Amino acid sequence: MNSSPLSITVTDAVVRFQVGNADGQTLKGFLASLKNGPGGRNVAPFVDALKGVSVKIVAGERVGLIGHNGAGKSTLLKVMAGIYPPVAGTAVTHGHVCPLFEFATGFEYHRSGWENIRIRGMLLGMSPDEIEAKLPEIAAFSELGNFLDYPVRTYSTGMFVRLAFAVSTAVNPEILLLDEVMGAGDLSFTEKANKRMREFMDQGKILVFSSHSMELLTEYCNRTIWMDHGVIREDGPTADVVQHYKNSVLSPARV
Amino acid sequence: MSATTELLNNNLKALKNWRVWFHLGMADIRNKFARSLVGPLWILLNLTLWVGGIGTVYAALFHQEVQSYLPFLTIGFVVWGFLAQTITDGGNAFVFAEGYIKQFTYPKQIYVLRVMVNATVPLAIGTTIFFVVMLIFNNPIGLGALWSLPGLVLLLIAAYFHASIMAYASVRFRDLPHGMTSLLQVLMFVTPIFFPVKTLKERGLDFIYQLNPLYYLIEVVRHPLVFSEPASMEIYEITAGYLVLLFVVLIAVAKRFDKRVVYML
Repeated sequence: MNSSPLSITVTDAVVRFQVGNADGQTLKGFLASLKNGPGGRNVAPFVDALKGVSVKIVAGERVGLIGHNGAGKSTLLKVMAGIYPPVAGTAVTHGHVCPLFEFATGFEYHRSGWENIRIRGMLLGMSPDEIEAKLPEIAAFSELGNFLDYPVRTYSTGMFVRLAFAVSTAVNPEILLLDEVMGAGDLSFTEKANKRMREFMDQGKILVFSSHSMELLTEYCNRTIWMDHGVIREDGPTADVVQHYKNSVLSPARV
Repeated sequence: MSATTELLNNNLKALKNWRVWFHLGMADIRNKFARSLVGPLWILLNLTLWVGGIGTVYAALFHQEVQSYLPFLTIGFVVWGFLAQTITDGGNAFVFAEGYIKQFTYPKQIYVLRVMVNATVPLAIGTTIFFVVMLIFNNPIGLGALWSLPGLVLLLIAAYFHASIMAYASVRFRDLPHGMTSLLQVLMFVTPIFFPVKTLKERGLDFIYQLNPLYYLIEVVRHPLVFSEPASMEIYEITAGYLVLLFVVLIAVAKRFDKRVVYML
């Protein structure tokens, strides 16, 4: 593990999605666009999910992300994880990142829970020996019991979350990025997950997570970033930002 | 860091994490034969049946001796299968790994290497069958057969380049794997796999194999194995040239698409 201090530095990051016209994806559409020339019906519109976002997060910070759906919270997390390379600006992260996004994708549906633990563990940077050593702990934490012997296609959303969360936090990451995962588990699991999150935070590592739960944000995060239409609306102490956000959502003259 | 250096670094990083792609590839194979009685043994059965059946009939059809024709057909068909599989499956490497690419930060190349593992298993099984066929007909295998090893290295590199190019290009053009499947079906019958290259020469149809890079990739492995001697210099030269060409194309394609793949999935 490198000894440089943990940090996430995002500078003027722009993320652009091509949306709408799926014709551009096929050979036929491409040929048609050659024939019709640019300016024809195949010119796809873009959506800028992030429009020049700058954030610096240092060791020990617990940062919450709030904002309405589509404000760019998940996109920003993925930029921090290095999954979305910004089209303009930069994103530099120091430390072993463990992302936990869109559970229920990235599984081998026909393989057992055990096998999926192994694959996820590897993709998160664990060696096979480490994984085998941690299997019992991960299995116990997930509380999936006999279900681990079944193919994961039989799992419910909550079970996917248990499995993914158990693996992701078992790798002992330095930077944990969570995207609204806490809501999907049942009550007892949420309790356990909260406990593990607290342990994690006590170790002075970086946590960034997006949530619609003001209670969770207030409980965990000393700093909160309010995302709005791809830009940072406000970045400051959680209590202030959450209050302003609530006011804006509740007031009739909201943006 | 220039884009090219970064790409090469990513490829190296992916290669180093061999446990990940090896595991994924092997899991794919097990998955393919899940709940079947004999499992991956099907690869062996399929090939044996195919070679035995087609081999004996075609030997008569092309007026070949079974003894020399069967090993020739076996290894040619096996290498062809490897090339075809890496091209078509390569096209799906990123598309099928969407869930992983959007969640984990590993270099994407591991999903290409996973496809390589997937295709190498039948190649290994098929090569074993080739040796069995040689033994059955009591054909001599000399030290010259070792020339197939450098040939194998060239083949693997070419297949990796093919698969990588296909992986990037297919994210943009989803028709590509389907189109390649059709094209390869035709190519299989015009590439000298079922018939020796001299039947084309006799009829003045040399261009059919001369213009086909896949023929050279087969030949660098097949010729040493069948005749226990290196293939002709010309074969190696053209193969090397083709590899350089593939490399240039790959760098160009990857430079253009590498950062955009995750957005296009």
